[in-house]
Amino acid sequence: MVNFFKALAQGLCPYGLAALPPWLCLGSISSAEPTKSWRHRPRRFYAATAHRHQSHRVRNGARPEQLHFFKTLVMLIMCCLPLVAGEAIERNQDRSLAQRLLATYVFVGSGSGVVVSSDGLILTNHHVIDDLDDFTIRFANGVSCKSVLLGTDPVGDIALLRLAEVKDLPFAEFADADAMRVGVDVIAIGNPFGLGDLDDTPTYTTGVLSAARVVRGDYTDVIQGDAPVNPGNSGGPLFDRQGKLLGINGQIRTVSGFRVNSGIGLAIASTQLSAFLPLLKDADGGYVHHTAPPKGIELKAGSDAVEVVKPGSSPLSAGDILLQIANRPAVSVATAMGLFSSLPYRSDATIPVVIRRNGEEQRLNILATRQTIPGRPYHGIEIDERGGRIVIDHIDEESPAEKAHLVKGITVVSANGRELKRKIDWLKAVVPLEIGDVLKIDVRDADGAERSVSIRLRPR
Amino acid sequence: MALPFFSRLPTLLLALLLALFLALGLTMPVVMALDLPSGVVALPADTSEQVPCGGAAVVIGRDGLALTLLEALPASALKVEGQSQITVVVAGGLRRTATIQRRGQITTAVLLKINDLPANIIPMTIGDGAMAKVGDVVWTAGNSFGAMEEDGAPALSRGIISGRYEIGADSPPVRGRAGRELSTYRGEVLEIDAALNDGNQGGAVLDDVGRLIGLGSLGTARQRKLGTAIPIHLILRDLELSIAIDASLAPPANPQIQGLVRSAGAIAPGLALVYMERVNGPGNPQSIPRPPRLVNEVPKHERESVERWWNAYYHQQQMFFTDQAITAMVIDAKQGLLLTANSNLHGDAQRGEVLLPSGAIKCTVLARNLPLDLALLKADTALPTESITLAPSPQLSLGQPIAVVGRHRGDNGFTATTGVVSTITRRKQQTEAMFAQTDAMANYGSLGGAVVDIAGAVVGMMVLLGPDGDDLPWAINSGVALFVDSAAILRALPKLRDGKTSRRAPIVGLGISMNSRRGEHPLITEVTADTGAAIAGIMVNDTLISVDGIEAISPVAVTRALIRHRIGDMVPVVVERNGDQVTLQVEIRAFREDG
Repeated sequence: MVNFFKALAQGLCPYGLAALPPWLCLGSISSAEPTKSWRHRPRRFYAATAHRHQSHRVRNGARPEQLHFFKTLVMLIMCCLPLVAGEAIERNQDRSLAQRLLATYVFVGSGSGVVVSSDGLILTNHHVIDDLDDFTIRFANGVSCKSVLLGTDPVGDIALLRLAEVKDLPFAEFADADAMRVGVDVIAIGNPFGLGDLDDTPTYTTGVLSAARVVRGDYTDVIQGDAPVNPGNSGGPLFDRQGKLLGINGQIRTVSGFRVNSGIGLAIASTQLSAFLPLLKDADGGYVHHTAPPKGIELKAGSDAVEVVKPGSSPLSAGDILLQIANRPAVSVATAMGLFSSLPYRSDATIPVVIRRNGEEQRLNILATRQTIPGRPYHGIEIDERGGRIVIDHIDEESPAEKAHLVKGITVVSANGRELKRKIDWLKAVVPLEIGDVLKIDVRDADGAERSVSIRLRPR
Repeated sequence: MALPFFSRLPTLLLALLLALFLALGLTMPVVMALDLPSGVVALPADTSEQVPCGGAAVVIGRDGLALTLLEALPASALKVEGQSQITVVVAGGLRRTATIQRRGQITTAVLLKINDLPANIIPMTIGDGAMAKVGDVVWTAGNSFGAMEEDGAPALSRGIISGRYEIGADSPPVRGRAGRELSTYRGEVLEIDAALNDGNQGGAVLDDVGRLIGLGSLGTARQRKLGTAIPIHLILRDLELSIAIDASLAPPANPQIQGLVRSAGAIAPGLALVYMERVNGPGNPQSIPRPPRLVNEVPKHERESVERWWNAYYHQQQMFFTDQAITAMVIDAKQGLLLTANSNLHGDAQRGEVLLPSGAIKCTVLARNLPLDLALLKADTALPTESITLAPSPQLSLGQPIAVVGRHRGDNGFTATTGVVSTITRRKQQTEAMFAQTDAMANYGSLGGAVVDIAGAVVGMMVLLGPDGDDLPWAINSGVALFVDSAAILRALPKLRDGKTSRRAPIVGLGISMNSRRGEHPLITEVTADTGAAIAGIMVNDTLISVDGIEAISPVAVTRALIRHRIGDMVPVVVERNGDQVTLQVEIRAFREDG
């Protein structure tokens, strides 16, 4: 809106006066000849009044040239007012926009996060919180607050925290897909190189949106921007000029692996964030999963689109042209595989697909499979079979089992509901588990006390 | 003269009509984003080549004619003389083949012909590369880091032309992977601060209405790491192509950028180039060998130390090998005083020469302020240049647009990059030294250069401190650059003018030393005389419980509690003495550790 003021003022003053529509040209009206033509009615209106006005003036001794000068002066001032007002408004808006955005920023670990609800939900990257035991966050005014991990998405690199003390917080609203246009201004706030670790002052950088909703490496819904982002910006917000959250900064592409900005910042788009938010809220501190490409599917880059070579376990057929997957265009094989992996996984999740088969467009819904989180599921327990019982023989240091207070010598009675008598029972219970699954074991301590322990399996 | 107008009904009606006109106009979007150009092409690298990605090209004719540079071609195409075929990826992701038609002699330009160009690809219109000037908004569009090879979407970045100059015939070659020389072009280039990375070679550099004004080149980037473009008119001339320049549209006025660049040009005559002596001779006196492997070639746990090694190596290369002059601000031409960043003085340089069109004038280092990274030079005679006036109250605000001004060889040549103020209270240690920070691209040419605001006030000087206060600059062009604001410089100047060097800034704090004990509150071991702690009555052997409401669980926590305070603030400190907790109000003062 302010830009319009400025554009208008630029057009109007001082050299654009000729572009003014006649009815605005106060100063150009000659006092001498009131026009009589109906076509020039507005002029006649002013001419008439001017004339009347002029005659009044003349009668009182003022000269027409003085009046003409004065009219021009007034018009110039009126034209420049929008420019001045525009500048002042913009500077004020800029300053208050910056303060508004800063209020939603938080320091998390050695990276960043952003408040996304008034009751204290905070989004950040998975890699920012992955090694943390303590989720204390700090606001830009230095105030610390404890928070709890609600859920994390290691494949999509998003994590959700909730502040322990619920307050009425300023928060960032998600931008929707049509705000994500290439070339619009973007603003990043973060803690590059840990500069704000001591003085609690985040860094504010600006740039433009370089690519909208693309697949980049592991990230399946990316806003790419050239606002400078560096290590420490991870998990932090990328805003548009309206103050809406376009995405969470997560990765940079750099020269020779030097972890320094080179104008390529990759942010997880807010469309993906809002899709995964409900899943993360209900994850009870654990992992959430993505959908996966259909098992056995093979695609190729055809002459003008992506083609199915082998449909695998999906209802597609060989020769189908893939136009859209998950409501986004499948522009390349890599993009198509990324799009298959971009949706949150629930047991009834489906992936909408638009194909061209034998010249006709068709819409299909493919039943989604769950993507395995990469890495080996790890708990840190080694067991041994002794006299008909399964006993813990060794607990790895700093493993999830150690954190759950399991020690050597404890008897394991059952695992995930399966009663354990022999080693094979243990293996049958544990081996099928994937990262993110919970291993629930009932144990009996040396003094006979029985308890249940739940261990969330993490990658090693 | 009375104001008859304003009492008149027609004037009121006019005002209403104007308001209505404006209100209607509010619904029109005035600032429009640049349309994604469809004429950008990606040139994938050979899979056998050990390079991170391929280059780019630009379509200039519906018949498939496209322009690129030698450095963008896959290695296999370079080996064969005459015509050879390469694979290209056009915007949208479709693959086609292209043949090399001919090569330029001077600019390393290459003319391609793409076969079977899809109908939706619109050739680029050519803009006037000869008229491009410092401050013009530019956009880069290419295959940065190979992204366009994957999904057919060129990535856009926006910046400005930060400089326009000649790459001299004596410039050292810039090498890429495996030592391959990237470009042999020596001539005029446009330097830009938009993102220009691996994959942008041969790619589009556009003006603010999307017309092609140059091709991106890494070969001319030199060690300053800002992107450069070879102007399009030189490329067309070299390839003997005559294509009409589109002069129909004028780029929209960008008053903010124009204002900043105008400010930069106005103060540039007050910047000087100084060549400082190489105390141990030019070359490699620090003997930092070239790291044997790139950062992304070593295991993860070694990466940080290899990065630091590369940083040190590049720094040394820049300072000693490339034999550059440094930028300095003339703050008092009559007295011959110049101010620059201490980081510029690489080691123990004491003497230098101010390079002027009328001849060089010798100068020496008068004094330094290490905490603020300032150095004051004194020339032997008065300087025949203008002086720069530092703004006494700069009034910096977050998000405020500023320009960083550097000097370049040539009479009044200057470079300007633009950005915003990212922080105004950056403190790296608990001392008086406080910095502002900007995301404008800042590099060796800007150290010692001026920071100006849109009104033309000089609000600071670029400095570049190492992350731990050591004299290794780090992260040039990272978008994180520190500058000292003009008020702080003015406060530090009197001592510098007196020839007194400051090595450490006074500490700003309570005035205590403590013994930190793990798991317990620290014990106070010393109270410095004449500090706020001494006056408030804090005593040795007190246990420190909290500072300003923040529990003193570690020295870092205490520093964090104090670092936001300025001299004169009163801060509540809780100590435990003989079993009782006592709250004292302590004044924050500046003091030296040795009393």
